[in-house]
Amino acid sequence: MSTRKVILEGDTSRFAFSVAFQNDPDGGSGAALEESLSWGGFAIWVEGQNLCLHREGDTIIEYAHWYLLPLFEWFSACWDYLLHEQRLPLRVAGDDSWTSLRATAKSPPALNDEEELAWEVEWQQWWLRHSLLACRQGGLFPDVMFRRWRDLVEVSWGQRRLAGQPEHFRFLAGEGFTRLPVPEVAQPIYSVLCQAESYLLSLAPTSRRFLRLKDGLESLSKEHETRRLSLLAGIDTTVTNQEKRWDEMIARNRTKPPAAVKATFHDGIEKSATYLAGSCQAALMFGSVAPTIDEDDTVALAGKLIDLYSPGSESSKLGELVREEVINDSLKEPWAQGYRLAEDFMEELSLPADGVDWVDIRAIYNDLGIHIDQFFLKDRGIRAVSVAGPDHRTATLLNPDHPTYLGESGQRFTLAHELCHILFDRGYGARLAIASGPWAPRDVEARANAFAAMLLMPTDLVNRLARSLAGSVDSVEGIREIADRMHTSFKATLEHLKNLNFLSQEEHDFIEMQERQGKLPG
Amino acid sequence: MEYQSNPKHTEPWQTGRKGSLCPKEMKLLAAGLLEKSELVGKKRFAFQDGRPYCAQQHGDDLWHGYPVSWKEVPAELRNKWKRAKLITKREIDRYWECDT
Repeated sequence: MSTRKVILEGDTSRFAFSVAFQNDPDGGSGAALEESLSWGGFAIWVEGQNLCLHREGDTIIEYAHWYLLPLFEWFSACWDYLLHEQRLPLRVAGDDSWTSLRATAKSPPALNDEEELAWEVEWQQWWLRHSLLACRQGGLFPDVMFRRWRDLVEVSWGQRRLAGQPEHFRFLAGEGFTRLPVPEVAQPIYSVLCQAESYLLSLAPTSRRFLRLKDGLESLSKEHETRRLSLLAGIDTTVTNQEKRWDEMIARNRTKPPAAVKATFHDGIEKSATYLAGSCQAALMFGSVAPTIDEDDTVALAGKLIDLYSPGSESSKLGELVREEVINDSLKEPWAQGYRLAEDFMEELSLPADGVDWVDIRAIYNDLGIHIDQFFLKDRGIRAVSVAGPDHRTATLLNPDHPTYLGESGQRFTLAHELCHILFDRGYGARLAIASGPWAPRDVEARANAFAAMLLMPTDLVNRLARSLAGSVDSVEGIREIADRMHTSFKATLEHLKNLNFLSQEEHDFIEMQERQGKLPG
Repeated sequence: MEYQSNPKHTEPWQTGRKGSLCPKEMKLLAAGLLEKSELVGKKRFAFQDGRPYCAQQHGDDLWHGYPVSWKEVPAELRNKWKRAKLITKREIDRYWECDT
């Protein structure tokens, strides 16, 4: 079929978007005029992989063919969400949006009718805003999702057959995700949309639908900053409330020192007409808390960020250890990476010291000039909050209402976990503000847990302690003795020794059961 | 409201020219399905044998349809049909992603 016009923008080795207009093979039959004029194909490349590449029988085809107008209209209507909304609906149930949405698609059986409907509506509204399939309108599109992920845009994809998809038709990309700087995704898409709209209007200059698309695209370059910032922060579950609460939070802090307010709510944001890249401390922080965050917690967290304003206060020793280690694609294994980062860190600081049986995490904090404090939050799911950046004092704030706060071993694990965030999870402009809890990015949390486990229980130390035991390591007594000497909890030690293959899964399960029975009354 | 099929949802397959295909047996049922469909926004939805279908307007009172999955059907409508026992949870689960 002859192609009338091809538009390709971006770098196919990073991110690129292309459309190719063709004549409608059915001459407009069964289609609106504008849709028929927009017939063609589209392709999306992510890190060299074309997500639209598919097989139709024996033929491999690069472009997904369909009426392109609904795709353009969807990009235009959902633009702010695709590039600025990070928080997943209902709960974080996977590393990326495709995986998480799949895991939360069905409502849990325990819900009543009303709760079930609320669950399904929230899930579907998010899906409609972020999934390319939402605009397929009968076409066979790849299952691709876009969302904001901290300072980056996450593109995730998977393989699911669509209704009406014949057996011989199959998209070739498997499952995965990648995270890219906002401009690398936003600019090619916006440029293709504008060129496509211009081309379509040249075919039908008076078409109201094409003119609406043009207006929609133009409006994206007008004042959207508050809306985009409030989407980044995501305080609440609806866009209207998000904007309202964001404005209220800024208003409440107007009397605070202007420089501190600016550093908290504005600095770090890179404004462009059509998107916000980067992020300010407040948006980073609220992006990792529950959308249902209580008003008091919102005020307290924002106030704390302002209180921590202290430009240029990061120690040079800490500064030398900080490096950006973004989990930017699905090939990275957060757990293995956390182990490796801990080992690198220990090597740089020559830890653990010879002959010492435990790693003194508080001494490490002290040495690096990281402030430790308590910070009460009503949300008991948050174990701690960490802040760092050019304008803020580097700090870890432990939530005394979280169960891990009850014992020193739990606090030590949390401090080691937060240290990973402080060292390796900086975003644009070396800023960090994160609340460690169920709404923080899952892979980032998994990596910090692995880092904490390896930092507090390094392999060489575990080896030495295991060899020095009077009894066997695969026993409650053996694990308890190692845990006591390393100042770690029984549970964390048991898990870590299994992960390091000191214990088999069966030995781990048996010890866990014995330990539990030992705690039972009588 | 008149049904008029879109050839892109009709067999035989032609490379690069088709979308979701309607089952052959639906050809005779399509007009009736359109009649009993429910309007949500600009689209109409109906079901047959537990499988959902969507119809879209493409001209003055002219509509065409194609198969969809249950996840593409507005949650409120899906829930309403389920509560009215017109469709079952099993059917929703079975055709959540695709129609086979």
